[in-house]
Amino acid sequence: MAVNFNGIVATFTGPESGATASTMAVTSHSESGNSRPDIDITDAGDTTRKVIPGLAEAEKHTFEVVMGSGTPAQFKGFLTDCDSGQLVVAYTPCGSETTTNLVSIDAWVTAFTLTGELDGAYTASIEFTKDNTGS
Amino acid sequence: MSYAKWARAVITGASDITDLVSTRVTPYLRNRETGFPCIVYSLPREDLETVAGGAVQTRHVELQVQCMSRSHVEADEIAEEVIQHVTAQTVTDDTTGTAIQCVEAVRPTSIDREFQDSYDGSPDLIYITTVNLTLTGA
Repeated sequence: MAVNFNGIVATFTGPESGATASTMAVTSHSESGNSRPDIDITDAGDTTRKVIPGLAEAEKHTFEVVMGSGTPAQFKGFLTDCDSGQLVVAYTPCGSETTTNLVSIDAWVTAFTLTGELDGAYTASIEFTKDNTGS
Repeated sequence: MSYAKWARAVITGASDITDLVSTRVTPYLRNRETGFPCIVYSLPREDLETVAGGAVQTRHVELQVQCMSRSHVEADEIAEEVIQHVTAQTVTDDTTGTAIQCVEAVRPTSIDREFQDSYDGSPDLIYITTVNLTLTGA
């Protein structure tokens, strides 16, 4: 059985003491970063280009969510945090009591965009950047 | 694995639904031996996500639940209970205890409303509120 997006639950717990977890009503999720730039080490005698990979970009996760009551203020509050919180994207496989964490990282909220239009739900785009400072 | 068994077990297993329609739950066609209100459910289509080797990894199943009543309001009440109670869960065989079908996610996607003329001379029309859901599972 493949992991299916429909069953995922995404939660962000802020870094402040006593911060409550915010469960997002996710409609889409994308991950970026994770790419390593080429460092060119070709010299004059080479007949083909030689590269070695540099350091990977920081991992970023972007979620499109439908806003529930109170959550816009929560996520705007996270924008001012200096410490990272914890982002967990969990999935419970069919017929299993075990929940698999697809994503479980320390991260900052680095972008929050709220949009709404006539006859539409308020939706937000929330970007998280992985905290690699402890690694 | 059977989505047909899953659908029937979940609909008839919810007391809030059966309090309204009793045992009048049938697939595809209404049982004309019994009256109203009632539920007719159907599974008209499955979309399969299949890998190169041919194994089906994920199924997306359309479930249509027609809630029929002589009262417009009651048809809607049954539909609301369907939305509340037809949720992701595993259905097990009562006898063997083994899993018949697990549905990981249920998304109610739309509601259709229509009516039919009375077939028996009653002044009351037959109101039909159809809940369309997408089930996702193995």
